[in-house]
Amino acid sequence: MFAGGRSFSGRERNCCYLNTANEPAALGKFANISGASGLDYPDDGRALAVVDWDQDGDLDLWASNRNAPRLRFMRNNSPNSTESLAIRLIGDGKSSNRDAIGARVELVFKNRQSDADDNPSPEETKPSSKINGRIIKTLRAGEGFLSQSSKWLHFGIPPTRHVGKIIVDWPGGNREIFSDMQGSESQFSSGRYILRQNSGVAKKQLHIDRNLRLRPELQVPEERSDGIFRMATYVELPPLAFETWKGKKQPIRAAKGENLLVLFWASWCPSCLQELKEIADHEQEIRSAGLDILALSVDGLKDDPLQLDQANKILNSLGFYFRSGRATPALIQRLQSLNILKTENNELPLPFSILLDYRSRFVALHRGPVAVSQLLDASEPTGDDLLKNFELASSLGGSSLSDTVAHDALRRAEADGRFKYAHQLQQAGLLAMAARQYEKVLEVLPESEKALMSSASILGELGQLEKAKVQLEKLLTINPDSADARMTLGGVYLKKNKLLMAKKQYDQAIRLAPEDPRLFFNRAIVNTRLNSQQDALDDFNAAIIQKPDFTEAQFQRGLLLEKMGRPSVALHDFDDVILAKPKFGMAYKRRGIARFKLGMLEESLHDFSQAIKLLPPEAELYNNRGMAYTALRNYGFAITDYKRALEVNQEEAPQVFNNLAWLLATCADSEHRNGELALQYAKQACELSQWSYYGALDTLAAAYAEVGRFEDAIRWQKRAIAYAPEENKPELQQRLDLYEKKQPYRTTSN
Amino acid sequence: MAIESFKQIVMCGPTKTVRMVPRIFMTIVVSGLLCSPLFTSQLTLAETTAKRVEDHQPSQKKASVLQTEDFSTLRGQWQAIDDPDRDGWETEAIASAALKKWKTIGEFIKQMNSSSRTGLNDIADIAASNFQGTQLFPDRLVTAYKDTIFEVERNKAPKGATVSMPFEGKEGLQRAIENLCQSLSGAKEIRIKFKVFRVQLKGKQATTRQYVEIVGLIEDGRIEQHATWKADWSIGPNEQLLLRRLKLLDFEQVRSNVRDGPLFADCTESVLSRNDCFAEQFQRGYGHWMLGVLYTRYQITEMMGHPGLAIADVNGDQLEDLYVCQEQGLPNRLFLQQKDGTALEVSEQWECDWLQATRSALLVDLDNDGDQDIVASILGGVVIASNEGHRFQVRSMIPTGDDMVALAATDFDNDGDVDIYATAYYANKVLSDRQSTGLPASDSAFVYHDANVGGSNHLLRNDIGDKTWNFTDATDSCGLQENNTRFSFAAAWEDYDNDGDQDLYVANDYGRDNLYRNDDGLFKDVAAEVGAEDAASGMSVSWSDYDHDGRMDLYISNMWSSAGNRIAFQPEFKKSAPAEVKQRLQRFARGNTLLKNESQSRFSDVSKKAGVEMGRWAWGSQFADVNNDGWDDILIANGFITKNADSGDL
Repeated sequence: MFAGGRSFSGRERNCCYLNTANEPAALGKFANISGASGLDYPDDGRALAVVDWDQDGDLDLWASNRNAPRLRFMRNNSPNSTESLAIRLIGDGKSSNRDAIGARVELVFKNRQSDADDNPSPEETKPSSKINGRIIKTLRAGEGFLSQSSKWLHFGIPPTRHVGKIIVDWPGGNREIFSDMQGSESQFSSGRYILRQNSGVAKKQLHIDRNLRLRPELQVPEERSDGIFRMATYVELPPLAFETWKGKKQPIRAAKGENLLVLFWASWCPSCLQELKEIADHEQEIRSAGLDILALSVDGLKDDPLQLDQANKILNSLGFYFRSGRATPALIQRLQSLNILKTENNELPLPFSILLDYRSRFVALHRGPVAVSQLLDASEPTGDDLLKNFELASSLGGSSLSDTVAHDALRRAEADGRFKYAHQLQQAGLLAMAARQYEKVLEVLPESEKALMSSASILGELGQLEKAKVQLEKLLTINPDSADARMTLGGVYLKKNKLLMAKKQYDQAIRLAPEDPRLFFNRAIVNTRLNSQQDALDDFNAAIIQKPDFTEAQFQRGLLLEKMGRPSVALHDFDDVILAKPKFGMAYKRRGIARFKLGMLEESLHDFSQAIKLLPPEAELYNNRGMAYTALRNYGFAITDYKRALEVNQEEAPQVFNNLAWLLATCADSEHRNGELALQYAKQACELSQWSYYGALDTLAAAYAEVGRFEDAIRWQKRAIAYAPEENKPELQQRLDLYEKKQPYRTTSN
Repeated sequence: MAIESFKQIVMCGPTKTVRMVPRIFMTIVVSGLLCSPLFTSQLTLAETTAKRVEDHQPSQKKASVLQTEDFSTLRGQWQAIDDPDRDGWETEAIASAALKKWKTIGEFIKQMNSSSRTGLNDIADIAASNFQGTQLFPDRLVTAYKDTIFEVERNKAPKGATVSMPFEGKEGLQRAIENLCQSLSGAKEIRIKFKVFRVQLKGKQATTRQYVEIVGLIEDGRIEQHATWKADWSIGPNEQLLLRRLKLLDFEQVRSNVRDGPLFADCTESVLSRNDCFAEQFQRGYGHWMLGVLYTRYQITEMMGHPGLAIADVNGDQLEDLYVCQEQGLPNRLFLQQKDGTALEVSEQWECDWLQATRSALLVDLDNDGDQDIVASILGGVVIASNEGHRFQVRSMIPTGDDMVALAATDFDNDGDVDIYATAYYANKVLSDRQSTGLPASDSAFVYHDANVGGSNHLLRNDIGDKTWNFTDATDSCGLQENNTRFSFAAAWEDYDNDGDQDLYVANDYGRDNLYRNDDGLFKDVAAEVGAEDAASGMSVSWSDYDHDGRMDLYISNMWSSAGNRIAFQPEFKKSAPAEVKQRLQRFARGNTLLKNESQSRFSDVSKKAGVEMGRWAWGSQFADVNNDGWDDILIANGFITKNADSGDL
């Protein structure tokens, strides 16, 4: 929200309500004078401090805003300004504090006509008169929102009244009645009075002629978003790349020992060209300062890309001989995703440049042109002094508060920023980079559960299991009830294939968080590996009940069910998964297999084709589709698929050789039979299965039969029978009988 | 031979080529990232022309808005309520359709007052043929207040009798509006704003209530009208609204009379522009400094913007000076007032140009030596520095927490020196539990209308000795741990029960406020007991005896939300929630609160009667007598975040 382009309760106008309690006709209702008062600026207002800044007898305002202008001094032009009294109290510094904060001041009026004190009397219980009698105010330090107003207590004086006396209740309990210098017939005229504790006398400040130079003027906030944005902490950026003029992708990297300024420009942007020119003019200085420049054209992000000859023409005319190339949309997007490029108006500024240090760490962003002198200044690398770097990052001056408490807090804040950055890297899939940042976070905040958790889970994914385990164990000593830590530790054990230990962690985690479907899912995986199929199924069921759209669990349950010999049930899961994730190729593959097993040949063919479209080339997929084609007697396509399968993977595919050889040897359709080829493939199938797999031997025999070498066929078929399981022996025997009758085997045509 | 025979091997077992490794859930971090990455397919470019380029040209490629993600919001729940599409509130569609009609009428009024009266027939289509309407500028006005600056007039409520509806038929609406316009004749730069704050829907009939605000310039002052209109609509085919009845419920007109402009005029430039920081720092919004921010740039931990202000005479020249607090990475600034009213920036010389996030500061005499020392709530705690005549010297920093907000000083134990109360918002800023929803704590721990997982506030007792600047944390020993885990934005001391010691009011976001009664230096939270809880989004608190009855009253900033008002008061809103919760949630939209201190020091909520609820998304509010009539008025600073792309307001 803060970084995005939308307002949120923005452009709201400040309000002002006039107290009308003095007038019975107003019935206690304030009047809305937001507009009439002139205070209704549409600022994102924050603090308001009240002060008679110019000492002209009315209350002015200082206001602060989140947006620009960030300060407003609102001068009060009240024509009634003479009718007021301001009081500054000075405590004795013993019984009450010197500033007299907490003192209560009571102004007692007398009517101008009668000069008599306004003592409460029966008829004065009527609101209009009673409440005119006195005004109380307390001196406070700090109120409103983040504001401290003036210590001068300000009293407006109604036109018909005089101030008869001033009563002060000092903090600590002493009460003191003040008169003016004139003594008993006291009547305070408008003005500013200093009341010193125990003096009894209100001393009027002499009016000084101040020759004020205050005038109303419209503030015009700076609309441009240009400037230098330096980092307080340098961090490694994710890999960035540009395109050479010939269209080749190249990484953006600082050369050894040099800083690199990556400057983005467009051919239609005059200030870009001017900047390039200035850099070109100072080439020697820049190079000898150890700064390299890479100028990337953004032409083409919206309009036509710049061609090599055009670019050369422009750059040569400027005398610019540093490296150059094109910025790609991917590069701009990456900078945006890192928050490096953003504006309140959601425009990309031009020109802009980013400075990387000699270790390719991000040092600064320049929005708008940057002067060469500034570049040369900024290219000094800095050390690891956090407070100093913090100061250097400010373009407005200022100093770090260096107290240890402040320093520690700044380190924590830096770690917090690093954590967010690490998280961002993690989300972008840059795990190793994220892990390095998490490590630095943990140096500052070794006990942070969140950092330990993030770090450990990322290390787990990176396979640094021992390190992850140490962090998780530490976390669990801090918080033994962290189900997340137990879950992740379970994952670590699972990756180490310590299944029982993993299961133990999941059991505990489930006790802590019995409604977390991820835990059931993970335990189900462990149970699957432990071959506790029924337990695994129960866990998958639990996960899916808790999270009905848990497609990963549905998919895994489908696999399990298939393995448990229940393809028709598995099919439902795969259907659901595909409905939810129509681009998930693996689901088509598995559903194809299930459908194939259930004899749904046409449908399985369709699934395998989808899987082939969605998944990277895989021998298995072509093999499976080849089988489906074979079953559908589409032998030509089947052979093509088998051959493709072999193209994808020769070495580890005895099944494919076998299937192809079998088809070529026994196909009912003579057009597709090819005994010689079948023999060749069958031999490879046998070779790859160490001549001990009865199926391959059976195929080899069939191939010999097809080429008419029945003796060989009989020999190999006998060996196949020897290796075959009992239940398959009868079928193999039938074929042996055929060969003995010198007949080749043919698959039936139905 | 059948295909499924042993011959044909389907590779579905765990063979070498099949590896199906399930993803094990290991990564579980839910982070409180405030910014989501921005991925865009459509890029736009705009040229930044920097100062030093003399011959700059205007951008040749004008930018359009990039598609940003819909960022989660700090007050996510309100945004959910605020989004008609998301919540499926049919009435919100009506409200927004009605608002369109009002805007048309608003344009009409502006045109009536301008010299070129174009497009005047636009509003005829808004009214139904059987339209009936009251006067929109009442016949009978009563002067409710008048002094030399302001004159306030209001409609006289008709007694009993039926309201007359003199404007009838399709043209009636236009005549009613024209009648209203007559009251504005001569006014310039007219501004009109409608806010629909109630909607009711019954079949094909809808009723809306809206605030109408008109402001314009008149000779030697301004005119300002505030009205409430009740409108009955019939909903035609295509969801088209037709106005059937329009009734003026409430009307107030204010005229101001100040020669040469409004009562308050912005004179900032003349005071500050001689300082470099005026243009460099203060003419740029906080958003600017977050451009191009990698999270580690400034270690920015907070983005709401919190420039606190403190005023005092720090150099003893009888002129009041200004200290401006700034966010992380921006230097705080001290401005010394000069005799001519302008101010000179001296923070570097005075060694108080701290860059760490500073929310608020107080200038008070801590050691009773007659000058103004400084206390600031800064990243990591509370810093205390003594005034050494021409600079501040840091004396101690108290590690009260990473997210300190407001400061309020008083001598709570009446021992002759000022003590400090510091409030905290988040419990632990660093790697805090903030969620991506923008809510300040994890969903399970956080109750929007009664949150109790915020930071702890601290009472720091002044134990400064001859040479030592000690402050002792007395929070616990003084009983201030009670209800001390709320999200505290503001605090102010006052002797509300007139017993001679200082009590403390704390305004809390997301729930109930505290009123700690001081009983001889021991505090007890009596907010509930005395009716001062004001459970809402407390942002600010200010005290004044606004009604001159001798007892100090309270004004507390909250949020006023038209959308919240429209929805929270419908029967369907949180239907299943307990009545108390529902009321609390309704309360959240109602706005600011005026608590009148009654006899026996109990408070009654008079906000509605006093008409001071509507402060919009309010932050700072203060009592101040702006017209010197002896009666404290109320000032309110408001608005959350303004960006170029508008999303309306709450």
